[in-house]
Amino acid sequence: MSVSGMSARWRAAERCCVALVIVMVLVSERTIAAQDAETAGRVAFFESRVRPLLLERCIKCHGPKKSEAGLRLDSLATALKGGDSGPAIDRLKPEASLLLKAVRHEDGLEMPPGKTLDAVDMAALTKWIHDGAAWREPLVAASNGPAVRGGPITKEERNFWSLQPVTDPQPPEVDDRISVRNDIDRFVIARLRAVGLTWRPRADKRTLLRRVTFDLTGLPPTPADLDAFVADESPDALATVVDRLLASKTYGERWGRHWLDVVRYSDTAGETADYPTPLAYRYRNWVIDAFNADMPYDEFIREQIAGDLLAKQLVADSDSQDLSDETLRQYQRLMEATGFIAVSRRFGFDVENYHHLTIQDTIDTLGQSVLGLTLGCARCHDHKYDPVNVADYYGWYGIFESTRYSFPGSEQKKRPYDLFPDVPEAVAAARKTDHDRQLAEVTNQLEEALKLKEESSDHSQRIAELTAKRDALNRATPYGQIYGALDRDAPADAFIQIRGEVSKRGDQVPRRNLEILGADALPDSGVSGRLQLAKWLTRPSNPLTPRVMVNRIWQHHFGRGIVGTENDFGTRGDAPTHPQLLDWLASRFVESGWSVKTIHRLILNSATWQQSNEFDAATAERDPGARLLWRMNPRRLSAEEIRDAMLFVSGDLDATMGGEHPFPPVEQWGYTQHNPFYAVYPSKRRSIYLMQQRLKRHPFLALFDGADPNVSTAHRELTTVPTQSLFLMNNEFVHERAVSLALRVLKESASDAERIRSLFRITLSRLASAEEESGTLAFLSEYQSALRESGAAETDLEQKAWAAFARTLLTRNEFLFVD
Amino acid sequence: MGKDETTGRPSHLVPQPVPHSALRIPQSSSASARREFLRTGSLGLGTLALSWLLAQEEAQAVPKNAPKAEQMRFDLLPKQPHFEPRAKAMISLFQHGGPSHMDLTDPKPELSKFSGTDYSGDVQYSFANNASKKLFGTPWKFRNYGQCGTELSELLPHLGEIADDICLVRSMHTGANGHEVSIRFFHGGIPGVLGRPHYASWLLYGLGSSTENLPAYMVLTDPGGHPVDGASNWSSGFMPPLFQGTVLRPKEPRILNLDPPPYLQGEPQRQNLELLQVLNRRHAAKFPDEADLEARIASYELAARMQTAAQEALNISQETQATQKLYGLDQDATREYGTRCLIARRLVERGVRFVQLFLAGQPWDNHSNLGTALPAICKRTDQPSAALVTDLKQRGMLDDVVVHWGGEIGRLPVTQDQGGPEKNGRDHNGQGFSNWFAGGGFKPGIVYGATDEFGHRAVENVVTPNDYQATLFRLFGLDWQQLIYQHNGQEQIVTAGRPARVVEEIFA
Repeated sequence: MSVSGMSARWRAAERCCVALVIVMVLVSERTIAAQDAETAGRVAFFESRVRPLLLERCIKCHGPKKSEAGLRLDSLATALKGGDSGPAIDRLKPEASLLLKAVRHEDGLEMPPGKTLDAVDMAALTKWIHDGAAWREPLVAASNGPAVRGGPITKEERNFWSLQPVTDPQPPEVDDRISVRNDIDRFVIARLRAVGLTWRPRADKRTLLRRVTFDLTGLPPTPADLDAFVADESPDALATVVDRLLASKTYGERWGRHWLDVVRYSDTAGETADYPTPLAYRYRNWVIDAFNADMPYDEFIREQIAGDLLAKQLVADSDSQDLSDETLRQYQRLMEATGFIAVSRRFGFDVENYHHLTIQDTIDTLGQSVLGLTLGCARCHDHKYDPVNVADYYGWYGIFESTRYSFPGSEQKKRPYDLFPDVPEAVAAARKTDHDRQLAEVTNQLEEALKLKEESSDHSQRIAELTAKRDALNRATPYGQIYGALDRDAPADAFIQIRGEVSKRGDQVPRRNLEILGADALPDSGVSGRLQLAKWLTRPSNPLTPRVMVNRIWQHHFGRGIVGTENDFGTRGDAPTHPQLLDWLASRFVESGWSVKTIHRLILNSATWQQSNEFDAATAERDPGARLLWRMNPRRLSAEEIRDAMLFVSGDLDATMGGEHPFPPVEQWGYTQHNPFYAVYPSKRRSIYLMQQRLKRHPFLALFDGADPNVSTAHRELTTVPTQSLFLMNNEFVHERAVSLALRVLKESASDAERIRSLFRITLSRLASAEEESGTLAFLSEYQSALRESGAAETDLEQKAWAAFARTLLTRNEFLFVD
Repeated sequence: MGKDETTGRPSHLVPQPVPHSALRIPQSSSASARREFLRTGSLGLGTLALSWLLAQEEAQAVPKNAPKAEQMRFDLLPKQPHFEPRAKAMISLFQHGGPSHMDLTDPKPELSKFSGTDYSGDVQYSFANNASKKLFGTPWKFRNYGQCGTELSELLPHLGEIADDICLVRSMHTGANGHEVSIRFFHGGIPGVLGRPHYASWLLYGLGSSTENLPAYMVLTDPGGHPVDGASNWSSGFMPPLFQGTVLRPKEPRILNLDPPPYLQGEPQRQNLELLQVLNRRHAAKFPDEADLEARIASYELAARMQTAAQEALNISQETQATQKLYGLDQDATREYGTRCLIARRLVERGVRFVQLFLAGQPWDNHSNLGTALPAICKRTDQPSAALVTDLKQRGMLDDVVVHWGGEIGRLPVTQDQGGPEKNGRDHNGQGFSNWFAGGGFKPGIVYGATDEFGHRAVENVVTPNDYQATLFRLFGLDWQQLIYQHNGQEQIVTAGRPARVVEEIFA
């Protein structure tokens, strides 16, 4: 193309964009967020869904070559102008658009001739026109792709924003008078300023402390934390708190949970009888520990995909006799990481018959969690929207088909198998030999002793000792077991399953990387390819992995990612609200050695994050969800936070980490579809340690919108229903916490004023106002009268009244929300 | 009926800057008015909460320049409809998956006649890989039922018994074959688009609730699990969560935590809750745009009343043996669905506006094994569905209550080949299928609309989901075009401005 042609094209595109913005403002006084964040998304929608449709079905007769009925659909202007019957597109009255009427065969119009549009295309066209008919010129010169994509990946598809290399943009210069705290603020304030908005002032210290403590640990601050923070007048006071919280073990229990949502962690398998997976907890703990250790994120991903192979490498050159304890611990940790693969969902009555679905679940989860791509679609057909084809899917499929997944048990087979030793093979063998030898020895001694018909107390004591020793050895296993993954002995390329049907075998395709990520082949067909896959996903040239992760970190500090569809960075996902900031953060992430805690520090030390949530009606009208970050959005506590915070403030929390679940012994398993495994184990540990099932959700977590462990959950949808209120009003759990909290303050002090002060500080991190204090006293006395009238025993009236007041603290919105 | 001056709309449908809920405390009125309100509020604040509030009368400053968003209060107080309503409540028995109309409700002699030969027209398939053009006549017999003589299949004998009470529409049409696309069309107004309110949320928005004791919109799911599309089937979309459906547990106890500990029942709990609500309101006043805070306050109020009301409403042991038998509670095949139908009746009897029953997954999605799968799901649902109509009629409730039965699509007249007659089924068909209605102003004993001679496309009196919404709204006394919700600066209506018409021909 000539230079002048190119610039003309640009000018046309620019004019079009300007026109578009004006139309949108005139039509509906759309908000800034709508204009801005959505325009990009709408143009992307036009590109992916509408352009190909117009090209394939309309342009032949209504384009540069022919303009039947006077209508041309090859530019926005001609489409708006329309043909003999009137405008094809009516932006003011979308449903009056003749284009829609024609494809729906309404008002005597019937287009296109021949096959009518399918519902997907019709819906796309409808949505597009309703959304203002975004357009990018020119129409015809662009690729002539099919209605929904498929087939070879085009250059245009490769040019999609999320697939471009991560850039390291210079933070914008901003007015000196604006006090920014770090570079994040420059991106955010520049964006706000560009549309004539500004941010809110810094939140007060109490709000900041409560916000940062919940954000990083999922727990409220203690009164001592509050005092220390208030007393610290240095400018770094908050940074100090952030460091303290990041170093706390409770950090991993909060952020590990975010990751477990994304990898749909569960303690059961999810097939028809929902068999327990008692060893899955080792993977859960590994995730928590990894966050606490700030394990570099690239390593974190590699270990989950190929921990077993890395473990093998770790001990490859050593003699099993010489392995240090540290090496053995590291080996164990690497094996634990492969739990990521084993916790894939299982299907059906006989799980092995549906292993192809389990592999799809692995691929889908891996795609969404690490890459922000929905790869699972390509099991049956080329992805309809994103540049991922069937051969890509089966290229990965072969890798996981060449992998042995631990087997959880099922209605058909009742018992688990393929649980792998958590020590190197040679060590396992040596320990087993040693163990067997000891057992044989003791058994022998016991038999000998039993033969002696001696009747002395010494003798019977010896028999008792030997029996105990034998039983202990019988119970003990010489090494731990892992619910994880190993390579199969004979790795192989997979055959395409035509339309996703396992019985319809298509071509064999080589195991390889996704085409858009480089299409790398395996160096050697003798390996499964998991180690290579792990490296492909985390190498610097892959732009998705760091972008997706920094976006998740951002999401959990602001309630929404810079890309609002945190699991979908494809063409159907949202466009980023701050694309430059996203790349800047991704650059810092990689530069820091993929340190998640570095990103926390950047975000939490920004003025953007430290804003108050002060409401401003005029700004809210223009940017209702504060997507441009003109204030901090308040958020409701998650299910885990509600439970953990209640346990914490009442002093009832068992802070022990880790822990197995008390599942019935495997010998007793006989679960079936009609009698599936189901249990709820009471516990006072943090909610991340609750046993979570796939088929029946944990009742508390389900009620308060916990993650669905059947699918990758990027974003929890929160509901507000009366059944939650009933729980808060009546459930024993809440009442017990309130009693404990009351007893706690009753013990602490004899003065009512002190007790009230303490209650407010413990639960709400603030003091009671004078009115609240007098109101509380009035309540306590009135309430005791009411109890007395209803016949309650005189002895515990005081405690009951305090418990009742404590309950109003634990269940009020102020406690359940973070400002 | 008054019109709003600026919008020209009936004034009751323009959100008013007036505090509505019984417990909502006026912010701007005089102190004496506030006291009066507090004393006489229909729920009656106890003396304690009252003294707490009054003590702070002075301390509580009225926010200056109250932001506009604060005026957008939402509530569930009863509202006047546009017209005299014929229906006050509705029970929708949603049949996920696409019931095979040519085997159930829409006899096609031509199809049977040419069964096994190739269809000459165009077929819209979903699963082209095992599509065939071979016409597949129904293996089941049809006969006339009732005085009206409506022809129905032998698979639905109980429906036959109420043929004179139902209005059978044989010309439903979504134009789309996909399940989700069509479900969302029915519930949300636009094919395939998520994030819109269910039409029941619109009903609540326009009419409010006629019970203070139970959620106005309730959902009864299947013990086997959620339907396709999960919780988005009862979402309030862009409306506040006040209007979303409340799901009951599919098994006993259907609602947990209904009882406070014994020593707290009665006055102590009431005092406790009152204080909590007062505190919540003061907190919410600081966050005028947080619909969630408001919704949680409202949900506490409702929960308090539900404690007794829901216990009673869900207690089906109060029903006579004869009623229980009518719904099939004495048989294994029908007990579960029958129980839910019976609960639905008890709920609307107590003022619940809208109840929807769902099935797990898509039991009507008979791509294969039509011969066994279809009779099984008919057996499970036929008797309870018909019993609901019979029971409502016996109680004189059918005049006010709409019963809707139907799925999002139907099925194709051609075979979906699975490799043998016993395994074959039918593919999706959004071009033409049946739904039936009873009560609430629908004309009984009629058949409306028709599909073509083979049952593929609706050809006569086509009814789309948007027509369905407009028609239902009219029976509820609402003009669907006038029921407007402001969302992000745009005026939204249930049909999203898509063409719709009130199908008045099917009104009694």
